[in-house]
Amino acid sequence: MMKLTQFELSKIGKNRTVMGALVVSLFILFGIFYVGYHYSQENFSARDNVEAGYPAKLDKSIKEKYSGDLTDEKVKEIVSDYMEIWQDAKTDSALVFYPFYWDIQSTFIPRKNYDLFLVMLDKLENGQRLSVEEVPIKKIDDNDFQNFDKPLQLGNYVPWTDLYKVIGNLYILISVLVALVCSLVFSDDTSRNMNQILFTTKYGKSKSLISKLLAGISASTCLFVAIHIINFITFALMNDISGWKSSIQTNFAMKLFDFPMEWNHLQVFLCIIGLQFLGILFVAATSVLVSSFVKTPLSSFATATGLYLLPALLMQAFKGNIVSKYLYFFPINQANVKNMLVLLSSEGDFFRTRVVSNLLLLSLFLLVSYVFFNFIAYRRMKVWRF
Amino acid sequence: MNLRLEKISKSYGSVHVLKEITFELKPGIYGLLGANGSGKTTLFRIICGLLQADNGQVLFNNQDIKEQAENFRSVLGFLPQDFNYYPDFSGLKFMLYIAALKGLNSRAAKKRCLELLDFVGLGDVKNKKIRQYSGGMKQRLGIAQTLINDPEIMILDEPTVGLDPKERVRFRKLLSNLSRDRIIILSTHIVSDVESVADEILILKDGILQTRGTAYDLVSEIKGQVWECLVSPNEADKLENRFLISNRRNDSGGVILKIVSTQRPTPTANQVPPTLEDLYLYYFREGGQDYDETNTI
Repeated sequence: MMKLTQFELSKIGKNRTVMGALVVSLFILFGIFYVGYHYSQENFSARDNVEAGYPAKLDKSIKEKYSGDLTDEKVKEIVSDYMEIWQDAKTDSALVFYPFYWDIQSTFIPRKNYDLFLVMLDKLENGQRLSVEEVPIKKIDDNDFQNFDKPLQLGNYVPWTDLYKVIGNLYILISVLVALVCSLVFSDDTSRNMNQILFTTKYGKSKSLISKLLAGISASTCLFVAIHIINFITFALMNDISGWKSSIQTNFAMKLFDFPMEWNHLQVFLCIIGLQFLGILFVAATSVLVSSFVKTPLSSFATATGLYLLPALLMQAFKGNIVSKYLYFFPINQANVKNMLVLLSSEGDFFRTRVVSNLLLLSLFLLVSYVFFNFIAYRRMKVWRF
Repeated sequence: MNLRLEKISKSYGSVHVLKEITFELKPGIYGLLGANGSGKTTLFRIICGLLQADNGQVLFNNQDIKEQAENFRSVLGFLPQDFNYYPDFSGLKFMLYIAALKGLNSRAAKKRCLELLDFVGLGDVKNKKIRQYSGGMKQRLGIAQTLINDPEIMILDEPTVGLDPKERVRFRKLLSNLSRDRIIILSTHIVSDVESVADEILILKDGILQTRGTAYDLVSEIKGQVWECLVSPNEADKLENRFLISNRRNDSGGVILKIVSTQRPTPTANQVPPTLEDLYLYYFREGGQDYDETNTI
């Protein structure tokens, strides 16, 4: 069986369309990293700040100064530091922007009530400086944060926000690649008229079919794992990842203050990755199923990709409808990490009211579909005839 | 060992491709002759279990092949007519893949595949990608893959297509060496291939098995009906419209025609010994056309 699976993998690996797609994917991957990390708000503003004479990485000071419990005092300290940096910069005619400070000040000093920057500018024009004591900062409790036994942990969450955006984009890339790879599993042999040789061999309609399914899942898993390893290494090399232990509720960019689980950024990352992996299995199984019914890899790929995207289109048509609840089951929805977390924790948008129950339900759906689709594809090819 | 087909019928819509085909085969080489669309490939696919017959059954050693599908496939070697290899596999890798599908263990598979590649003359190019193979080389590779499991039943659909004369001679020798204790069925349009290797010939026409027998027996059917005559080009044209012409060649004195006819086509025509090609033409004359043989020139 292993030997046959190796041959099936080799057939996929040597396919020129797949090779071409992998080369193109490397460029797309580079583009995703370039936009998602290099040109992210954080890194972009960091470079601007360096040009303006600030330390190479504000991350380090954020990590050292603010990591730990989220308290009203800490919020005040952050706002105060930012005001000092900003007012210093303004006098030096260099505007400093950094998402960490920006997100926190905009959360705790809503602009509709008090425009911090206008007030600071007024003061600076009059040769004065604004003190944090004069600024109306909201309390943590006013922001409806989820309370747990332990205080929420603050950290340098900004790079993790970038990571979540990037894994959303990668998810679509991987899904399309997996659809392409798995579209070949049966339809390539059908289009080559090779079934008549394969299916007249001893294991042609037994082990061979299983080995094809195994090859599909192995190739999909390898793609998923390889791309995520490359992604995480790139992420770690380009960013400070110390924010992994900070609570997801303290991610002031995502604004998931009332997310009901006591999870840190790493746990959220692993949860989403796990869910996306099941989504990829679903995409793989759908593509394999399609490839068992159609005669050419191209039509198989087009159909599988269409099926992958279809729920997103239907979602627009059935927005807010009961149908949309069912459409949330489909993998395309897992591309947006924030929306997924909101959905899992919402009380009415999905089927259960608890995150874990929703996660289990979603995972069960994806897994059962994966097994079912593979089974149907196996049965279909088992009785394949001209 | 025997392979028996019992009342095999197959239709595509209103077109009856096979009509109650019944025959039994013992070890030996069988040539299946038939025009395009006569149902040869359909028949082969049914024997191989790739196509479901509407009626009838295929029995191997008196047991329906559906009831022993895996066992039957393990003794089967099939070379289909139209297929595309994996162009980026080497010849050896393709053979090893088929060997794995046929259940050979890795060590035995490699030894067997190397032997067979040498046997069909592809030993030197075994590591070359199949995309670099010529049509003849691909055909030889196809023949080699049918032999991997040392099959008891070999079904070869147009095996000599793409082979040059030298390769065809080699193929015929190869088949002769293999025929002992094996049932080999091959179809081809190249009558001389069948004539020289087949122990028995089956003629399929319009979905019906018209006749079967040795080449000698079959040719005897038209004994005394093959003529050769030397005529002028004008006369040759006229004769072509009226008789079944199995050959026409120019000669210094005119045109020499070979005619299949129950009656002497010209007063000067001489009887010649019939060949299998004459028989083929006799059976597969265009649209089953009956020639006007009432008038001689």
